[in-house]
Amino acid sequence: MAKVTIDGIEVEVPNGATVLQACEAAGKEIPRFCYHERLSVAGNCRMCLVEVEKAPKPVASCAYPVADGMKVFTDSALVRNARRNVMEFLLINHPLDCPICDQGGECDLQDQATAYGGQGGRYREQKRAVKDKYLGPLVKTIMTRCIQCTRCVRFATEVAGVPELGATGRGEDMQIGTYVEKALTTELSGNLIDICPVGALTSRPYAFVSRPWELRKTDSVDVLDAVGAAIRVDTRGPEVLRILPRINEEVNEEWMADRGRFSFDGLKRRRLDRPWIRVEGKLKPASWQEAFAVVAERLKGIPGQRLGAVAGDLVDAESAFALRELMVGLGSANLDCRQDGAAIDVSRRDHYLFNSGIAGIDEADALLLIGTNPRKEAPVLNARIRKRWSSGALKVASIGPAGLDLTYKAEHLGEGPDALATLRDGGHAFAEVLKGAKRPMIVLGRAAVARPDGAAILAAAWALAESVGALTPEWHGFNMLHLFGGQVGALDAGFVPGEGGLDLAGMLGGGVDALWLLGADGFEPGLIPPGTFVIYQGHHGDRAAARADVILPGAAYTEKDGTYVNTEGRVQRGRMALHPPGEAREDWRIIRAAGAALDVSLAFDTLDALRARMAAANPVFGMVDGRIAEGCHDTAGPRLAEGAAPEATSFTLPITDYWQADAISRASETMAECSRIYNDATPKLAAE
Amino acid sequence: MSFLQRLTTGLTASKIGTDRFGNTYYESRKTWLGYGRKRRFVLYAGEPDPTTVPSEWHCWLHHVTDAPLSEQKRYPWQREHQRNLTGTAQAYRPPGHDYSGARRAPTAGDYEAWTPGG
Amino acid sequence: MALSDKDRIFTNLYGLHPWNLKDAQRRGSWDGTAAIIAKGRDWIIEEMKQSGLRGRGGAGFPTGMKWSFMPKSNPDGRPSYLVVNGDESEPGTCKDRDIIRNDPHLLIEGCLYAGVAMGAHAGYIYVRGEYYNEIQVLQAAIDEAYEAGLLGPNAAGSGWDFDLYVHRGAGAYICGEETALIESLEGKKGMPRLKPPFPAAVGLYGCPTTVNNVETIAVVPAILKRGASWFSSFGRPKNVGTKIFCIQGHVNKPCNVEAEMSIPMRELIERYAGGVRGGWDNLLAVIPGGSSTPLLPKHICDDVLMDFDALREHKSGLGTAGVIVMDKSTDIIKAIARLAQFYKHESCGQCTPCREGMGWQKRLMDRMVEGRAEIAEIDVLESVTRQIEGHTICALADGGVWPVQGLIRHFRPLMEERIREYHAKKSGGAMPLAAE
Repeated sequence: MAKVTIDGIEVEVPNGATVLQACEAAGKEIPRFCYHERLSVAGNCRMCLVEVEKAPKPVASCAYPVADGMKVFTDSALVRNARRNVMEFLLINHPLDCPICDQGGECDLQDQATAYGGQGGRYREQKRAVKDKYLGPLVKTIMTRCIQCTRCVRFATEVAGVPELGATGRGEDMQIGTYVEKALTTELSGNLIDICPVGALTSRPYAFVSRPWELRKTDSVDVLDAVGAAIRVDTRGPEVLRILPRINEEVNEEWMADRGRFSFDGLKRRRLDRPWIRVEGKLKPASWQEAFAVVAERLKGIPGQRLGAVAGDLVDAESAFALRELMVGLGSANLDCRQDGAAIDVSRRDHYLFNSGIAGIDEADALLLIGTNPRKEAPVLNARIRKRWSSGALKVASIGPAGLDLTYKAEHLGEGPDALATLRDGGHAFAEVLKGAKRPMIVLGRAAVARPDGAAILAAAWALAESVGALTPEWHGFNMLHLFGGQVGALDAGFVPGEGGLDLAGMLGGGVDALWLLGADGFEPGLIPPGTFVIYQGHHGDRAAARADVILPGAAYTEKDGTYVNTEGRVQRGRMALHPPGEAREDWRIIRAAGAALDVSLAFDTLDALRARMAAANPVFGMVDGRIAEGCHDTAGPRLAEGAAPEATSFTLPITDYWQADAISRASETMAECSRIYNDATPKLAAE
Repeated sequence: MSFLQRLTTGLTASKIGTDRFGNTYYESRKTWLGYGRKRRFVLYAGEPDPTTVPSEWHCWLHHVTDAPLSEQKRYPWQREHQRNLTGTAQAYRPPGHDYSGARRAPTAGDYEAWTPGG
Repeated sequence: MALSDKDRIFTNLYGLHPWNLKDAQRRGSWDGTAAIIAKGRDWIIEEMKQSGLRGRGGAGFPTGMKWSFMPKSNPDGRPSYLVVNGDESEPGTCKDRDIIRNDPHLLIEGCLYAGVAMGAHAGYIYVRGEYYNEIQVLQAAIDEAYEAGLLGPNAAGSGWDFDLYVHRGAGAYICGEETALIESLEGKKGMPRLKPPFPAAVGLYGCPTTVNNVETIAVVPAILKRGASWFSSFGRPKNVGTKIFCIQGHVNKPCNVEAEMSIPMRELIERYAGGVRGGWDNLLAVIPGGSSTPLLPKHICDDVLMDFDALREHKSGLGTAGVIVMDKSTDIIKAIARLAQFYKHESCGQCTPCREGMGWQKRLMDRMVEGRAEIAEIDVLESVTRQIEGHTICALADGGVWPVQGLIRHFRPLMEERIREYHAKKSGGAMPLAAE
């Protein structure tokens, strides 16, 4: 520890800390542009200059290491002058087009010019103008505003792992760009907008839409992937205008994946905004009363065991739990939330969670990916793996399709489950790496168990984890990577076949006469046997709605208070940012009303009562924003398939088109544009 | 124009010209005390409506030019002068206005509802 | 008291003799190399410290002390590297070029001693790409040395393994800055690194590195062979040894010349360069140390000594000793404006003050040349240069503003007069702005 005096305040900071960190520890604000906590230090903006006793010149505090007994002045005349001078230089070639700039109101340059800048400009010469660059369909560039802080270059290179941005030219003519014009091939490009301290990189869908002070900001959780990134939903009136990440060190740090960030325009298209009922083979708009009357009439004659319910990938835990209560009340045990047919053993929670935790990646030293491409399935989690990998302490290997670009180096061990057996028998050098590792991680993609031999693969992966010593009371190295934000919550809510109940395959195989689909768009609706009475409850007319006999319009994740559990088992709450459109209602209310129509007494009338019941049924729902992080106390594996052996077929990846993976993003025009550009087989360059 | 008005105007001011809408323009004979220059004014052809003064004469009225501008000299980009129609039946109504009978254009806050087969 | 021929280190500075190994050995190169190395690393560093040699690349940092910063042992297995800075891009300086061209073996032998002194088994000589012919010579000389067993394993029979490589720069002034040079050598864009950590701790490829100027390294063999006291007998205390001065501009015989330090400027110019064109009284100003040092007007030049400390007293510097002489026919404002343009062009663009300020300075200077400015704008110019100075990662910005500061310090009346002339010519019209 080093004792440093900042403006007379004595603070103790660890050796190797920078002066800037020491100043922050002392509660002194240091203006900065190029410095960013999660990126390497560039030290080129010179805005963070402070005076250090005995130093001949002001020093850049972001890059200057502290020394014991150092005296730092952050508010001396020298420092104030230096800041004013640097600010003047930054502004001479800045276009000062704040009134038409999308960053206006939340611009670091604006704020710091007000706080630390001078009174006026003395620059009488021509200003610089820079040609705008093309960085893809999500990031808009106005490069004249760029102050060359190189945050974006460092983000792309270090965090996103796509070294495609750089600075060309030198001196005044230095420009940030890709050199060859092409869209950035990263799923994290939206974060460039956040880290850009000025309006050089702005959101293309949000361009000229709004001002930050017009927006109502609601904290929520991203459900479009299973990471559960903390987000802020910015709304104005009845529409979502943008979604930004919040800081959550345990989950997403401060990054966010593009699908979660930019697919919100899908919330305005293909919405189910009124109940529909099928009359003489055709869907007709109806009132809620009519819809419930039809539901009550059709379900009356059907015995409980001929009823089934399927929950989708984006549902909140409340509605899954409420529907389960309803089905139990109707005497049905035919419940399933595994639309992909994944062989998930719900007998113990650690059989289907990302047990090491997302933050646990920062401690891991060996990682095996099985049948998963985290870059497409959980980009933020992938960035975390990359961060650990680039520190040099993590070795990664993968089993699954060859030639994946994960943004880090991963040894490819094989394409199918046979590689698991080889690894377990020590037939590959990576087995030694896993065994020798202190904190090894086995990451099993959800899609790897969503195949006929899934149970055997699950058992094999667990056995491998056990054999390499990944399951200890201190460290749980078995991890399942889910794909969407509602999947774990539904499992935790017990939305799985009860005693003697049918799973999805059994229901589709003619086991039920009526099927309640709760946002279930993940399977082909044509598989539902004709004659089955289908109730679709959801927010988008995606795949299943057209097959339904009754449509009950529900709310999307921005439109309801909901509980979501991310892949590591962290219970998080999203909050209602706006009301559902038209006649649509929050899903748990619909189920509650349906219960009344069906004469099933449900023991909740309010959301709080529902949540209390959930917490009573499964205590994890009582731990909001927390997760049970502990090692493995029972190494007994999943017992779904005793003795069965995995087949030899290669693993396939679940997400073939990152941009169109769920009901919301499939409705989004922005995402369709991304899909068109990024999945274009012929590169743009060929045309040039 | 009343007789009295015509009389006093004729006594104190000289007529400068008439525009194409029939408004007549006068300049006072004397420099007004405290005003520092001769007073310029208009007598409207019909109802007193300042917006009927075309821009050529507007310039002259406000002492922008010494002499009235020619009404004959037209540029291709000039549009015919039009008085303010607010309050009349020809008043401007934006597209989608209730009175114009058109349907409102979709706004940003609208959503697109799903329909079967859509 | 002129430097006698026997005391010259660069005996083939003018290329009167062949550069190759045989002739170099006849001039004394590679003589007793193994014996000197046998005296050990500490002895070499001590001798260098005793000699008082200060780096010849411009900053004048004591060389022996710089070498002593290199770690004595590398527990983590990182090798040490010697890097020789031959990216001589300073306008007005061409000493390294003549050393490489005519006496490459002095440099190569010096590299070996320096390598031993800092525990480096590999050395890189970074030469600016424009020195194409010089690089050919240097490479040939290195090949010769390898053939003769003077480089490579057991170099010169000393038991020390030493390899030497030549790297060509791509033509950027900033790559003469040591950390930018290291970046460029690593294959990256030549941009200075933040210090600390200093190259002696984390340098080339993350390993301990010392960067020395070509001239610094080339005088090492002579110091070690003839003794530190011989070297320090020239010049004033703290400013000792001999130095190659590059005298150019309005002199009768522009030349490179090796002279002792602390020689009076007037003597240097009159004895070696044939005097100022039109006589000493025709002198206007001298830039004493390459383009990045402030100019000195005649009244200072009359009796100033050419060394680090004397020039610093007059708020200039010895720099690389590129003496640019300007007589009274010079438009001094235009000359300095040209330098401002050079520094604007060569700024790497990393730090804000330099990136933005150099362009501003250049544009203001362009207007000062014409006089198309206000007198108050001279103060703006001055304050802009002060704002740039000392606020950046490397010293390019400092070097870029010093010439302008020197101009304002010594020739402000001239600038004011020009502005008044311009206004007089344009009188009646409004003051035009730059935008027009």
